Amino acid sequence: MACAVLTAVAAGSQAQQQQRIAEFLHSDSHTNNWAVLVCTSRFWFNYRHIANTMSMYRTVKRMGIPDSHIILMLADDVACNPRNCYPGTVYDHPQKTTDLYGDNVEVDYRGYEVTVENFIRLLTGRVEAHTPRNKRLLSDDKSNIFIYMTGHGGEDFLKFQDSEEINSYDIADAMQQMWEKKRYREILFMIDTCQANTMFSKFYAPNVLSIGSSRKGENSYSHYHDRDIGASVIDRFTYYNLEFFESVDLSSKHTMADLISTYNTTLIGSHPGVRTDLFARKLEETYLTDFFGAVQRVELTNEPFPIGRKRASA
Amino acid sequence: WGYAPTAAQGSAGAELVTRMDDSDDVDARWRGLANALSGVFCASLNFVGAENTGSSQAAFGAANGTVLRHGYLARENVCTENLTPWIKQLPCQAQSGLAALLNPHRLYNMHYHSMGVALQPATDPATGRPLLRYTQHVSVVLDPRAFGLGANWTLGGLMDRSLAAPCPVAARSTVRIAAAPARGLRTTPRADSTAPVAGRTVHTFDLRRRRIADIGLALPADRPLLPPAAAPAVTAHRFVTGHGGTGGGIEAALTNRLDTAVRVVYLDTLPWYLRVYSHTLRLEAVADNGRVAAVAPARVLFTPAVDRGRPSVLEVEVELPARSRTVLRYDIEK
Repeated sequence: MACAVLTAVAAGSQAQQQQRIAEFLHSDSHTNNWAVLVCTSRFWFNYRHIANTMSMYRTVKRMGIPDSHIILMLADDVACNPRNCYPGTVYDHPQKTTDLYGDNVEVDYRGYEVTVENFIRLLTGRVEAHTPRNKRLLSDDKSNIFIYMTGHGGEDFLKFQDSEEINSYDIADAMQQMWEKKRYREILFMIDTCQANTMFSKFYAPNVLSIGSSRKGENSYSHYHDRDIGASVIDRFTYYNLEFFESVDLSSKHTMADLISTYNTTLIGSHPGVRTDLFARKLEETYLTDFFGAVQRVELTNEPFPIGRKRASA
Repeated sequence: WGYAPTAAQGSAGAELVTRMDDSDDVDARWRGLANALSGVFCASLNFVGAENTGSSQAAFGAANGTVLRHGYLARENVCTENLTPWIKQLPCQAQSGLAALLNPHRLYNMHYHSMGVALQPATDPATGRPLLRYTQHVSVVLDPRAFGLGANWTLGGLMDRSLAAPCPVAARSTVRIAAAPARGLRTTPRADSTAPVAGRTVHTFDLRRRRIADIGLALPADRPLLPPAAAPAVTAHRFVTGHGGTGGGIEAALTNRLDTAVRVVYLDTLPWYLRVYSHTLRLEAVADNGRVAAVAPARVLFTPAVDRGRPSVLEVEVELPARSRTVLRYDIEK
């Protein structure tokens, strides 16, 4: 009799354990983070676009996303450019306080590899057979992806490499393909170009939050100009985003609403736009670390969980 | 600046040389390798394709049942993103060992830079079993004056890094400093051993034997900082001749400064859009006393280009007479 009771209790707690395992594994939030950072501009005078992208690279890396989950696309090389009198560096301020390039950078698509075709293939996963691992976006249905683009743009288009363009319908369709192929859970799309807000006006895939630097008909402006380097070194919108991120770290509970509330139209010189109608959650409830960091979900327990134990015979 | 520190020096751009077993899918495997390496080293090696891949027969030796593929990207540049994976392949990375000195801010502020890897089959000398030897090299020519250093400087000061402890798994960790005896170089601390090699004094520091924090080099202030280095024994200088945008020639001056004749293989890979008139190939030797003589090459192998299909590959095996300058020239159409 006592035997039977003990067995019943044991079976009950095992079912409870299984349920707790199931709850942990099938959580409702994302489980991994990716970042796709694209600089589409070539030439020395577009130094600031490389600096924009490197600022975002530094931010997401600092907040925990590893190189294996960052796709960095730089259309030109400014750090080791013969015109750079500070070789191996990219600065975002004339005072040169922070070297954005550092000594641990991995550029996945460099120079002429940054093309519209490669970008769309990357997003949709339809890459060519021999594409190496670091050039693939290996996301799944639980991935939160941060996509950042910067360069020269206009109404509904963005210029790549001074020779081709991508338009907003292309990106919208690529994102819909991603949704259908379960390649993301949520996307944060941020873009810093002229008339940036038009680039996300045609999106229709769900769970996409978009932020742009300027409205239709507006330019986005550069910020600091460095006389030694001879070019503008950062754009205003990205610079003020960065200023906010300098106060944010891995453990931050800041939300997207906090970030957006710091946007000052006078300082930025244009009207940043936010598109939330495709995004399921409220901005006040969406943490910055959901997109900019790689936060691991860890649950502490004192209970032992059996792994691969053979079933005892009755 | 004289001899290259290692035999594996490259020219401008990126080069990929592979010897593969011959089979039907050799080209697919070549592309697969180039793509995989482009991912590993963050370089655009994926642009290596049929139109810029040559296949040499003489220059790299020959082996039965294998083909040699030589891909060359002339405009590829190097930067920190290539150094990062290179360092990550070392067992101690940049934490310890000589790689701790590799500061990209100094490495890329240089006159010349070359880095690469080589994977070759070898045999274990102890057991005789086959193994793979993986070699990584980086060569850089730096001018201390570019960093505000004068006649006295230290290795750590030059690279703006400190010399770390040797990597625990390294079998050898040595620093060798070679200078002509006439320069009067003094090192701090003193070298573990000094020996004359090829007209220069080589100071060797064994980092595994004792912990060295930094190596200082002092040169007498009255000597010039950069005397001309001894030229290597055999050099080649290639240049374009002619004027205008349509025609011209390629000329290569092969100089042999030794007292004995030397047999060399001259390999030239030209893009398909430069038409090579191989029938205009001429070789002439100019001896020290001014005598000019036509030279008959031992072997000439020429693979013509196919438009957008493959580059021209010219291989000339020739014996360079002692103390002579041999000029090899042929006409091209641009």
